Amino acid sequence: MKTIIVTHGDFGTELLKSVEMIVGKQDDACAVSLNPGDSTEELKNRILEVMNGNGRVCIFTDMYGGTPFNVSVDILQGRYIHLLTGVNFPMLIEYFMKDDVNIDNLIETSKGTLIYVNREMGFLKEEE
Amino acid sequence: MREIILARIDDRLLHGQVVVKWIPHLEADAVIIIDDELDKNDFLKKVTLTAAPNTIEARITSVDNFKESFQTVKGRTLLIAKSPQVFESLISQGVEIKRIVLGGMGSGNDRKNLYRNIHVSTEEMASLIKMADHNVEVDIQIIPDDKPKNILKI
Repeated sequence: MKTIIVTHGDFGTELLKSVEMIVGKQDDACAVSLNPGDSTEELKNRILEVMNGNGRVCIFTDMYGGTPFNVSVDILQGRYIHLLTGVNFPMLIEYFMKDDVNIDNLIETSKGTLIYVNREMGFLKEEE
Repeated sequence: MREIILARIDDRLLHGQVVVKWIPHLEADAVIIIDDELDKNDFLKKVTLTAAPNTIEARITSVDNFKESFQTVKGRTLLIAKSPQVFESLISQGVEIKRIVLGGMGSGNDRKNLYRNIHVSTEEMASLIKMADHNVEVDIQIIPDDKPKNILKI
């Protein structure tokens, strides 16, 4: 599976580097950045270029409705790829650690990684 | 009571800058996206409308059906289209648009760069100047924090 992370600016590039500190180098993964001034067409072409006719592709984007997401939806219309949004650190670690990842499970597991630690530990001030 | 508070030209239509910055800044009650191509694509329409904040009424319409769609929204309304000609067409149908901002217009095909991510074709520039000459305030303003740059002064 080819993995592509598409984000506003270099968030995806750096996120991938950070995740690789834990899971090791991922040869089939790369990031595509939307830089200020880039047109949607340029971004789309860059994604298609890294997809390079790959049959199995999973695209992670940063925010529903943002330009990296919208451009990826446009690509999804023409071909069957997996498209996720709300990419974050624990999500990518979970994804890379599994040999055959189930995307529905990945999303469900990722929801559980958002934690207000104070509440979880019962460490809240009286007035809160 | 309904009024058009702003018309934005952005070839990305509804996206992060609009949802996160413009809609709260304008205290908009409704957003109408005017795009013939998007209006015909049910899949993309659904994706686009899901991206709108659920505190506002969001619609997608063709240029021809705009007036009908606008009749049934309430409050402060933001319009978004990809090209100035869309707004020129609405104005010629009697729609009252007082201010247009250019927020994102891509490059390519001999399109001239006006400012950062704003590029225009000769036809688009002519349309913008025509509207600006007819009492529409036309500014480059990508996000609300940017100081507006009037199209007649660049």
